[in-house]
Amino acid sequence: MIRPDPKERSRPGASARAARVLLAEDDDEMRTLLKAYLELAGYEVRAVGDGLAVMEALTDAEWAADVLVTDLHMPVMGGMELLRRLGESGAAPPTIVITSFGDDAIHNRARKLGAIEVFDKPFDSTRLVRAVKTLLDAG
Amino acid sequence: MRLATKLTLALTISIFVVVGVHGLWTARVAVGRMERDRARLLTERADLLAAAVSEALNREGERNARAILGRTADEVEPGRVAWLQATGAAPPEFRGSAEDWSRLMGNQGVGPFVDSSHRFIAMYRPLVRDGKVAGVLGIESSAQAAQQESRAILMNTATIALVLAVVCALVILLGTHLLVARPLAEVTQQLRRIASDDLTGRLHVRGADQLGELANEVNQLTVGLDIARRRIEDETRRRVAATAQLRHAGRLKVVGQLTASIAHELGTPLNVVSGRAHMIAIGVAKDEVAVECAQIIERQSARMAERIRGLLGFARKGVSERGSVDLAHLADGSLSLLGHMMHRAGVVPSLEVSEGGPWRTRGITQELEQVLANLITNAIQAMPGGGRLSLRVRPAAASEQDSRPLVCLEVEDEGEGMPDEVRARIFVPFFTTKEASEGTGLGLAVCADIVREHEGRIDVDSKPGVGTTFRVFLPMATAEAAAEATPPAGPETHAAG
Repeated sequence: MIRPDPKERSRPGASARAARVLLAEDDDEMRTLLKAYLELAGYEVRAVGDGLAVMEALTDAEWAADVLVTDLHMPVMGGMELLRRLGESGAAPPTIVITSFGDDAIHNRARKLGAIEVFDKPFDSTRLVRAVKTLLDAG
Repeated sequence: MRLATKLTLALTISIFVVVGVHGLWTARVAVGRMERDRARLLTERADLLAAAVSEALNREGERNARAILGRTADEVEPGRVAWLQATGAAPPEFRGSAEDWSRLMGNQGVGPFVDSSHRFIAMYRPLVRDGKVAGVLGIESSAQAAQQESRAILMNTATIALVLAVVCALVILLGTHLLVARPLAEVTQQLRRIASDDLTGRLHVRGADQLGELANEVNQLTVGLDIARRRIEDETRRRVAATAQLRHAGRLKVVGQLTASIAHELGTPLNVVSGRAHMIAIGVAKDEVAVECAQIIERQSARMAERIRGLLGFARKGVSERGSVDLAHLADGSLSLLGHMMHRAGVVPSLEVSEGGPWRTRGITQELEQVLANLITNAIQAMPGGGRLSLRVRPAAASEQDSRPLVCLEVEDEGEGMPDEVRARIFVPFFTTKEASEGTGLGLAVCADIVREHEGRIDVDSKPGVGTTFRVFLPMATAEAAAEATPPAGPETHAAG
């Protein structure tokens, strides 16, 4: 377990700004929680409730997301559909999937569609933060 | 009429007939013989007397001849010897015919004549004087002796017949009672005991005659029935146990599906709870934020507890007492229990309850809930891409097959539907179209069984590519039955507790 690290805020990057995480989760409490954790780790977080909102957010040239964290089961557009479309567009940020239906088939499908990491609910929120950091460091 | 009486009567009648016929025949033979003897005697006497009188007539004249006849007649046959005038026509007292008379006139003897009631025998001889028929000698002899003899024989016969009949009756009555009636009564009694389901008694077998054999057979029958009954009881017990197990298995299948669904459903709130708790634990959340975190934890815990309670409520074995079941309430409960599963599968449920309710049936809530949960999970599985699931609770019109008032619970999906050959077999145990991991083929068989036990029936309509509708028809509970089943309303506080 790690504590959110305040130093992340001043992490040196390609553009001297805080890394941006786009978060998609339909459950309000879960969304608020993950947003709080990511913000505590020093990231700039934009949180939305469905896949279509993710697509819209990604069209914003002013706010380019460095990492996408998305739930699979969401109204309007689910995570799988979102991954498929992003894969087609070829302009997807590195993606972490969180899901409550975690079986191997779903994991494999999500990975095939481009997810780098898949988290089964319930998971340790700090592990997600660590995974985001690893992804950003690698990128 | 009892058997012994019938036998006695038959035998007595037989004896009377045989002895009677024998007696009559004997009497007839005796009378015939006596008549013949008497006729012979009479012939001899008539011949002697006619010769004597004829001689006297020739020698001493008619007066002397009549006197001799008179004297002799008194010795021979008093009052029964007559001298008839030899006239052209037969005198009225002549017993024979006109021809007989002509023959007499031609010097020929005639007789014997027997009257129709055998009272007498008559014999006639011509009396000849100088070669001419001068008169006719008639002798009659009473046949009373023969008649008396005949009566005596008949009387005797009757007495013998009566005595024989009485003895026979006594012997038969006693014999049938001891040898037939008593053993038969015992057999009858034993058969009655068997009919009234008492298979414990056995008959006492006396001797090796047919009745002994019968008793033996009845005993063997009783033993056989006893064994068969024990076997059936045992089998029934095992079946009841198997049925209960099958039901529980069906229930556990739904529980399994629900558990999987709820495990997924609990992921998010658990995540929130652990995350918020961690924030408090490491001191990131302080003061009002910590309070807010705790409140969030409380809300999420309540959310999880509610889901788990729903599952446990369905899974528990509990008491299965019959009572009044409100079908709209049942449908509502099942939809809420399976709500998350439907949500995940993209299935949108709707519940439509006809006006004029409540629609109730008498039954076991848990079992009917199991039926509905099964039908709903089947509908969900039939729509892998999501769709509408319609539940309807309505009264059903009485049909030709069923004149009782019914309530109908309808579950309609927009799924794949099924071909006729599948539809025909869906209620057969262990028939399934699903993968081994998905279904046991017991769900609908158990449903049909439960519905049958509730005196209802279950129908299915299906069109491949359009969808499937299951209809469960149950007897509508009358207002009185419903009132009886509902405990009297207590104070509000009790109901709320």
